[in-house]
Amino acid sequence: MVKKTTIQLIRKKAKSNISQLMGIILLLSVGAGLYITLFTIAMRYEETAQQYFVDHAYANITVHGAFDTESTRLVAELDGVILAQGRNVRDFREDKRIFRAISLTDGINIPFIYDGRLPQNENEIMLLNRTANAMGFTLGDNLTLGGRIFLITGLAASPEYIYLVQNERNMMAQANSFGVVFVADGFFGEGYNEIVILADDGVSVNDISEMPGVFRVVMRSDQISYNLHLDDLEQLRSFAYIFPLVFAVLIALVIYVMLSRTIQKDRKQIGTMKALGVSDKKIMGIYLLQFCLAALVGALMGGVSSIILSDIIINIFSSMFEVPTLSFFFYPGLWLSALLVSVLLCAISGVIALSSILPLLPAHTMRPRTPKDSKRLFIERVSFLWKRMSFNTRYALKNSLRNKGRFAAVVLGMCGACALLAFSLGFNDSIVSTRDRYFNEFANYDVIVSFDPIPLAVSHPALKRLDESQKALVMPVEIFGSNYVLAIVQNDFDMLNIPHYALQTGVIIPEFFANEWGVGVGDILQAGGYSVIVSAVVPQFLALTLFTGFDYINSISDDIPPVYNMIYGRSEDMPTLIAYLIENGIDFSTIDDDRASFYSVMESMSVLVIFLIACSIILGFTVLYSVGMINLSAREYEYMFMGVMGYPHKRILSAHIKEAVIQLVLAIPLGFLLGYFLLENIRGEFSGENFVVSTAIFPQSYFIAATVVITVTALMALITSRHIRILDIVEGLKAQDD
Amino acid sequence: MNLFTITDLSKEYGEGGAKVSALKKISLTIPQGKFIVILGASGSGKSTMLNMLGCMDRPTSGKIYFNETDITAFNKRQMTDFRGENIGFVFQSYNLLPDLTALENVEFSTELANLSRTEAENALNMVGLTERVNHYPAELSGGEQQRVSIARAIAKNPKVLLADEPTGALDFNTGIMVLDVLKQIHRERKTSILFITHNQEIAKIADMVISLRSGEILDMYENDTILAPSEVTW
Repeated sequence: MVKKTTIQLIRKKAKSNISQLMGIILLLSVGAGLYITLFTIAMRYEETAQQYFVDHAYANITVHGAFDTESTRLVAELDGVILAQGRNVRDFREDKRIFRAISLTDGINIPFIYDGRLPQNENEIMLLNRTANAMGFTLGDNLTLGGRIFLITGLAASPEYIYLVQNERNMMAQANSFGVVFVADGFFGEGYNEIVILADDGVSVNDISEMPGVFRVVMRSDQISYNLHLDDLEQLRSFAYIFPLVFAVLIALVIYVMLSRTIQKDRKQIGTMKALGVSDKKIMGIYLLQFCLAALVGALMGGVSSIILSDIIINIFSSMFEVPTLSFFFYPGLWLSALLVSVLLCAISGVIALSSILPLLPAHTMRPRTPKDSKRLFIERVSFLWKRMSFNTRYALKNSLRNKGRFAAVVLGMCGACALLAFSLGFNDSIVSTRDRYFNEFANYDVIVSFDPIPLAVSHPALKRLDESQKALVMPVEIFGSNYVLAIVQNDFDMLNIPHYALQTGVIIPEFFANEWGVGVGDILQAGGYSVIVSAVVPQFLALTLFTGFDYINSISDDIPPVYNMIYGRSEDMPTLIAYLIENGIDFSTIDDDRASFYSVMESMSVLVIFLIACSIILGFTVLYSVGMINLSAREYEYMFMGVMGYPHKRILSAHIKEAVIQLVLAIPLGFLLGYFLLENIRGEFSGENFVVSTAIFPQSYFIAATVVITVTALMALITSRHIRILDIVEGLKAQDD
Repeated sequence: MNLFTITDLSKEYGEGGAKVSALKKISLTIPQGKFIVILGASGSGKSTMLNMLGCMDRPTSGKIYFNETDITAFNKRQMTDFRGENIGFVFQSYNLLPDLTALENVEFSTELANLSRTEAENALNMVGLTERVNHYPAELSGGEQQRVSIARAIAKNPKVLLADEPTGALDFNTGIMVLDVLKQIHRERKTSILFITHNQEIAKIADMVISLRSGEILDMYENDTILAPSEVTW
């Protein structure tokens, strides 16, 4: 049992070590807060979304084509199919807005109704809640669609539209320009253009593909919205692992150095306690209890701050994706693990620090630490250089390298802070770089026009309105069991920056897929039942697509009809062109629409990036402040002694600053390297079939990271300066004697 | 009865050319219940000897028996228990825990021995610090701090009090006051006291004097006439 005086001692020691303990609390609250927040969001998002998919019967398979009631019945009878329902999906352009009308199915893709009710006749519709919010509709309003007026009876969310995906290029459409409405059976005429299926593992995609009227079968795992959901989850998990891990290493380092200093400072007191007969276990308890309590408080503060942070981030995310019941949730296991890791981190650091003192017998502990053997520095051997240095510089160099452990800890602390900043800023740079490389270097079109396939020989009305145009047939192709987008284009295709020569000899594939599939130029790839040659591999960052020429496709297959369903074009007069396309109800997207869509996709990541930059800055400050204080306390006695000897304040400070400069010179380049290394390693986690992150840290980001580190170090120098000025030389030396 | 029996006690520090012999095969017996002064100049080995007797350090060779127990055979845990149960230390630089008040410093020792707070208060009464019990070490004079240190040492009723130059950092008058306190404890509690000093005058208040030089016993004698602390001067 811990006795009263021991508790008093722990309490009072904690009071006198308050600055170190506050440092520990701050460090751990940032670390634990980040860990709990990121994991809470990732876990909550995954669980809520999965439950949402189950509760609202998110279809496992969506079949595109032309169907009637009979063909739907036949699909429903296939093995593994639990429920199959026909529906119609059609886009309506109303001025500059596109509305996707979806006929409601019974028991599949059930909307989550926020307000109102389902439409019950052909004059009623229900809107996606985010569509209503973005376009300013409310319950009871009228909406015009295809020249008819409809009453809005409900506001809902749909498991199919967690992300507002318009098509492959416009993966996150702007809610004010693209909306989804749900309509009752009578809205469309007879027949369906889609069948949605709930199925179990026994279902065969081939069986479905062979059914009459089937044009394309899309598994849930191939749906863009579902993939975006999985990608975001993966990214959240990556951040949740990597960032807290880097933080934990830095925190452990700082805590260890902090505790070592505290324990070394108390060396004589520890010796006295041992002399009085206090056991090592009890001494360990006296120190560890205060540090572990600080860790507990820090982790709890982190947990509490995570409640607020998680809610804020979830709210921001809600504008990017919509899972209706997504909200903060308390995961006891997560909190407990954060508390345990924090306490363990402190306890282990404390035990390691104490292990240098506790094994000693009291007679040794009560004596001051024996100075280590001094060796000549490497630079001292370069006498030409060494002799030319001022005493002050030589002193700073010797001081820096005398205690290699502390020196390394300070350099690593600075390096870690710099790396986290470079990484966080670099992440943002990578997003910008990805965007710029696609839109400035890869994409050469102004507009893409989409329509149902028409023969190549037939001219689409849009062609006459374009200054330059090229036809393409864009279709899904199955490779390694998954569907990818294949664009068959003309041999002189120059709307995207791909090598023309390779269009006639094979298939051009994105570098990301080449790495994923382990193929290169000249290799054979099985695509949609055909063996095709990989004729080129190109870096592609968005809307990853495989390209080939009409001539090459004709040379390997007779099955693909000579049709096109897309026109890439350029126009000098975009406003007139857009007006024409709208007026004629032609589906299109401009490069500006695509850019806006990219921004929307990246927006969710930007929230994380801002959060991480903020955390990096807080942690950077805390680490730099802590290592600065360590530097200062390690030197305090020397500075006092220099003061006794008559050294002016300026020269003492100059010695301190020179030491910090040596540390900065080493730490900043190392921080840059570490930051880039982290970014390069995390890149894969953020790349997928929708986009590939291009690693980049811009010079200004390096500059900002270095400036922050230097500024905080300079602030520490100011604090040091003030501290040196107010040092009570006589009392200090007395204390050292004691 | 002998308190300590020491045979061939040696202690060496350092290695190779830097090796220093602090004690060189010392053998002696220390009787119980006496006020003994260990006298010697700096580097004579007196503090080293005290450290060995108090289980604060291990000898390089030789044996120390406390009553009949070989304390040099103790493991670390036994050494700690031995110090806690039998030894009271008084150091030249007081070594009070700065975060605790005078009373708490003493209680820290009594709690270890499972004694009540009253014992701590009695010890502080005995050294004349009743009025200063709630002061922190930094608020006490050197003499007061040393008296707290003595109170801490005696509060748990140790069998022996080891005092390492307890007057070394004090002025003459305060030093005499501390000596008075120690003599009073010896008289009233019959506690054995081993008092280290380089001051030959202080040796005159002891029952017995062990004189060391360069790690060897130079002389060992009992005082015919024992002076009171107030009778010595330096």
